Amino acid sequence: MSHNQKSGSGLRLLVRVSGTVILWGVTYAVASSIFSRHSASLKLRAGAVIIAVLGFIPWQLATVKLIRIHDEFTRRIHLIALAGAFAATGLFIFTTDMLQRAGFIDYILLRTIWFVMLGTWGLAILAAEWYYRR
Amino acid sequence: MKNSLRVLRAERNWSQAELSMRVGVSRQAINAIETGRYDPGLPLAMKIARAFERKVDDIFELEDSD
Repeated sequence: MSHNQKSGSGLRLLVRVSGTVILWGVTYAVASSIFSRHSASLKLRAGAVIIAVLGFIPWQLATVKLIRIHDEFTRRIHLIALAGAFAATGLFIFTTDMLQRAGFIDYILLRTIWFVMLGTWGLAILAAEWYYRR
Repeated sequence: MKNSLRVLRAERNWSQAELSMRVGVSRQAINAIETGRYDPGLPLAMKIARAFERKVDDIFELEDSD
């Protein structure tokens, strides 16, 4: 595959990833709306969970594809970033668990863990890029 | 691992961008290899060797610390 072809397919994939992010956002908003408006209906709540999860999976698949299209060097950067995010999230979960058991905090939302993971993933990508590309 | 990428490139008057096009990786990858921050995998090392018409061993050399 030539450099131009690679750039073109990379751009198409980036557009697709953006689309999946929008899909994820929309399904998340729809599911959240159902949870708040129809909290009494078991079927609707179960349906909302399915919608949200199905809306999330395309983003994951597109992100994997986006990483795989790059050369081995960029894939290495992503591997290190994912390892960093995994370690940071693990440390966060363990620390909050200890704080909770020690009585310093009540509980944390699972959403918080999710945002910590996303945030540390982004920061780890920037850090790995800075290290290798400086 | 040390390598003679920069020297071989200079001999041919190739920029990092030109070498990156020839072996199909980003310019940053070539830069990271040249500065010793990144050791390429075997397929990329072989592509680089092919671009310079050399053997992998002629370009990449193990150091005692490796």
